[in-house]
Amino acid sequence: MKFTLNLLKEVINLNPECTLQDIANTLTIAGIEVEEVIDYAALYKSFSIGFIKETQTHANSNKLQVCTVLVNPTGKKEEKLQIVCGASNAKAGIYVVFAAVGTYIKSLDITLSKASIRGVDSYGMLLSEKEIGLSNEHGKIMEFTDGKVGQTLADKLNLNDVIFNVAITPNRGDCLGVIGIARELQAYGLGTIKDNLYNSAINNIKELSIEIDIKDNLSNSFGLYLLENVDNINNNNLELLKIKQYLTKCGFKSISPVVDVINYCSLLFNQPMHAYDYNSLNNPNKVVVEDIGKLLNKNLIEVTDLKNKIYKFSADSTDNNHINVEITAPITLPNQTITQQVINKNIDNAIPVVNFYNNNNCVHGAFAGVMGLLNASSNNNSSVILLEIAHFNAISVALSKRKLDINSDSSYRFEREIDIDNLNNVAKYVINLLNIICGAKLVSYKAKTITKPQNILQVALSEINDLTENQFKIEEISQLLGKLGYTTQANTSVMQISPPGYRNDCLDSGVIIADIIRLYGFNNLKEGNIKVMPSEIGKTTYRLYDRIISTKQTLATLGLLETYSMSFISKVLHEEFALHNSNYYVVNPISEDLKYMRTSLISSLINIAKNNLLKFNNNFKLFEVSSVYVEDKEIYMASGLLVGNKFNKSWNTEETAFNAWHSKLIVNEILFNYGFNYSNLNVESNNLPKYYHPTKAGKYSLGTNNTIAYFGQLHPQVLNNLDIKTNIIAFEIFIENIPFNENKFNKSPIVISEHTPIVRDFSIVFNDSVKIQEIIKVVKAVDKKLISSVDIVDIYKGDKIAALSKSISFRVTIVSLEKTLVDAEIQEISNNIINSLQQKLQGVIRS
Amino acid sequence: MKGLDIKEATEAINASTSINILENIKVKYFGKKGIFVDLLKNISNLSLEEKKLMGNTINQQKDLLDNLIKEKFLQLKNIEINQQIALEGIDLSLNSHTDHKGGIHPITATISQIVAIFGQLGYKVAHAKEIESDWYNFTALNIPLHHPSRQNHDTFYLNCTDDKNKPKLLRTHTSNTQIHAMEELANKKEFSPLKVIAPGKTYRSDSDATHSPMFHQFEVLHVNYATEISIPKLKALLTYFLTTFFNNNNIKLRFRPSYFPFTSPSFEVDIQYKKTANGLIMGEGDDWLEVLGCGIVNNNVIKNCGLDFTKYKGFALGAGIERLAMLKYNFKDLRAFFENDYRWLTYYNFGANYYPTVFGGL
Repeated sequence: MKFTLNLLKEVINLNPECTLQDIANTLTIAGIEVEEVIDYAALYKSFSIGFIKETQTHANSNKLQVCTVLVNPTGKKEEKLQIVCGASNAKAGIYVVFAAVGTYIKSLDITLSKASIRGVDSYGMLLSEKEIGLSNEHGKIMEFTDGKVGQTLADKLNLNDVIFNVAITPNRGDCLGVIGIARELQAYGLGTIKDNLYNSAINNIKELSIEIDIKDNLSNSFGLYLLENVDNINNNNLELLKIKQYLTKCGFKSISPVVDVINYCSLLFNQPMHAYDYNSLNNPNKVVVEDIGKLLNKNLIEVTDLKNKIYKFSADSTDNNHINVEITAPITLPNQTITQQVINKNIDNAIPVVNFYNNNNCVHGAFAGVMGLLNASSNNNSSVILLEIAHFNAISVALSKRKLDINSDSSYRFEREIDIDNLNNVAKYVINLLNIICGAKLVSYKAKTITKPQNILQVALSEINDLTENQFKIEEISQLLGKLGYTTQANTSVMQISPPGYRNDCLDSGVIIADIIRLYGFNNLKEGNIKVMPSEIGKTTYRLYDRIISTKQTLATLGLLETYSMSFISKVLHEEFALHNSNYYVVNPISEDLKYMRTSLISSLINIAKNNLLKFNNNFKLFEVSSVYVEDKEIYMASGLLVGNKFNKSWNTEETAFNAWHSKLIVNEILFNYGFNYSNLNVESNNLPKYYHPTKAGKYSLGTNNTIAYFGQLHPQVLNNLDIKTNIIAFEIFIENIPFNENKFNKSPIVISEHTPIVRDFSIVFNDSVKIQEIIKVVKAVDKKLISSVDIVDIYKGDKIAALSKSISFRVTIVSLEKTLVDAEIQEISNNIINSLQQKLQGVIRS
Repeated sequence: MKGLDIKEATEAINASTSINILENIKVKYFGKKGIFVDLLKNISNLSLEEKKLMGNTINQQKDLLDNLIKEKFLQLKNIEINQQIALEGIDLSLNSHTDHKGGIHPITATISQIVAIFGQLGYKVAHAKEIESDWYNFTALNIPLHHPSRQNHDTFYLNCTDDKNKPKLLRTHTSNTQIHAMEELANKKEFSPLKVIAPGKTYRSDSDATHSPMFHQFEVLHVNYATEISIPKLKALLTYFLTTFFNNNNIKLRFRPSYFPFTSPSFEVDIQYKKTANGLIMGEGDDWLEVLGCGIVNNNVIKNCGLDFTKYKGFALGAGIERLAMLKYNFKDLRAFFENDYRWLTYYNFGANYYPTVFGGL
């Protein structure tokens, strides 16, 4: 919300010593966030109006002009200066904005000095709007057809005011009016609200002959004021000019005198109003506030609002509680062409409207509290207006504006509640102003009000003192709250606290305690004690959290960088990298690239890989540990990509591309870190996700349908589809599927052999289809006690052995816990290994 | 002594120029057919008396030569090593190839710091779902459908509905953890104080240098018997948190009244700072930075979770994790956290074994 210092002074007499900083600080501690304070007078104080007396073309440039300018920046003495200017519109006879030598120009970050421009002396500068800091217009210098040499720019532009831009929290609707801001400043002793604000009176006016009918509690107060003799054509009335300046500074557009006055009063008192063109209402004898849905039987209702949006309402034949609406909105594109956006909605039928009836003939006047309708609202030719000053139900307005896709100043105020007790005062104020500005005369009026029950909260003194750890006395609280307009009563230790009518947010004791604290001063509250109870000591985290953290650390230790990606991805990536069958997506995404809830982390990582490759980052290892989304379940995964080379060619290494074994190693390391023995897991290659290379990838699982990891090369076709030409290896670990080993470090005692290990090497030829893992298993099974390790030393395929076979060389380490083995014992184990491999895997000793 | 000329032997040993020559000398005297074997053979014919005398003499000579040879051997070996050292020198101005270096992302590091601080005070980590129902994200938190503050939340909705047939959404704040934690507490047979810290992902439909459609928040909730909960305690907790987090004992806090539907009273907390070329200095200067929101849990929220608000109260606080990281570590653009440029990650990561502790300093 924006307001200006002068606007504030329309309603409050500020103390003479009150500074801008005082106002800003006070509002801040009152809970009103001050986002910006712009003091235009200070901002533009070094710029003044000059007059170009004559110009000459620069001798050394046909783009530059040498201007003789009349200036008087100090206001003491007018003088003539020579200024070189490059703007095309610099010509004799115009008033311009002048900055003297020595002036600091913020937009250019320079301090002007006397300059020689291509050999001609220049004493100062003529400024464009951009250089002044008013807009981005830079092609021309700012020019005026009239003016006064030496006048300050702020004066010339009527900018001698200070604009406050403040953020009002949704609970404090009362502060959306300048009067609300003034009340806060008064509470903190910065000034006194003017006591003659609403001094005009409405006397001896006859009753309006329109019956008021409010359905479903849609309004608690509704008044109509018939004004004749309205001149709604812009005029030079000084009061109107002042109002227009205020409105412009506070971000409102000037529409017409009547609407400007209404908006001005709304800005002052937070009371939206609407002016109907009485002659368009077809001599109404009744006004009804009602839901549009209840009017739709078979007929269709079409209305147009003040922004030229067209709404077509029709009944929903299958559902009595719903209606259909087609909204056609004109949209102006950047190139000025106008197009239409059509939205169809099925909504519940609560759209309150203000309808005017002449017996059975109905004119739709407005979406109640949201926006007036075009055919019924005042325009420049309206000479008789019907002014609506009403309260509308906040919830109805909030729901209605959302269904209609309308964001209006009026609905913004109504949905945050208005001061229902102040309607009559505002009426007096606005009617008086309309009379002054537009000559409007009040002929008749009618107002219907449901008296609002007084809001009284019972608050125990002990509750206040317990929560603040303070010893407030009842009188002290009464006095503090009194500053904010509360009335209090207390016979016992329970206080009856009644907030002022405009404080619609006072629904619980917390609000009152907040008000007491802020007036007492938060800093005056003591600092409490932080206690840790014995029962709270112990582990902070839970086991999955620990696993997530330790997984990240292990992966980082293995040389992978941690990444964070959006949880939603494009449809293409979602489909290409579907780890689970789940199609949850955001129905209102920020872009199509951020739509589908990812079912694999590879879908995000591949995007990162691609983006980095485009930036010439060619070799890297990345991971993410995060959840993927399967239906509405969140499943934690640890996934990573190895992109490009493990080693580049260097003086002591050959270029080595990442391969599938590297990813398997990472998976093994993670499983080891979990305290899980992976040595017995089989690498399976069936049912891999389709983005893996069918013959260069595998998975680990624990029983059927319980995959714990995928690893290996990505499918070349998939990479090709994404236009990625680099080798990429992936892994994915289902970290929740791996058993939690709570006693990872709680082991049985270790027995270490004191005897010499014996090493024996073998070379055996197998059929190519035999898996290495099988061979190792068979060898180990020969003597589980004595064989301590089996290491693959070499794998040979080629013309020295039969086709479709491979020669595997491996080294077996044999050691006993009890004794040093003798040759015969070793020989026996060796023979058993050879026999076992021959029987079980048809292995033959390589000759 | 016949066959043994000590002088000659000593000279030969001293004159040896290589280990090879020395080995030959050793064989000549100590080998299986060496001079000492001969000498010892020859004394077998002597009398016992002579044998003893002679034997002693031979052994003395033998020890003498043996020591000489060993000494010479060491000398020659050292010469050989020195020659080799001179030849095998390498250029250590070269670097070996390096393997890839990994590291923890700043978001993880920041979350770990925050968890460490609150963990120290007995708070336990809790997690709630990101795909959430209207009830947990809004209604139970005292934000009914018509509430104006819903407009500030820019909610992402999903193509699925909850058990009340309302569209599911991506949570707009971590405050949904409050509801889950308190509902769980209400379902317990007996009340016990609740202290949770809940970091996690949150979503809002907004994107610029200071907004990302996905970001992280953390929520802290303490529910206890009404007399155990107070604003001064909340104040003390925040002073402790911000002082520890920014590792700065000068931190100055400012509590401003504010509004959140789920707390009453509500406060926003600012910290004092000074802007310098090298980032922000906290606890100095004239400017204030908003860092978090907090308050006393609204009675309606306690009630919505099935707890008796006349007996139990709570306080809660929440803040943006990226925002705190940006303030602490001088990051410029929120979006860079999620762009994952390799160079950015390499530059800003916290190393492989970052696990912060309060006692170690943050």
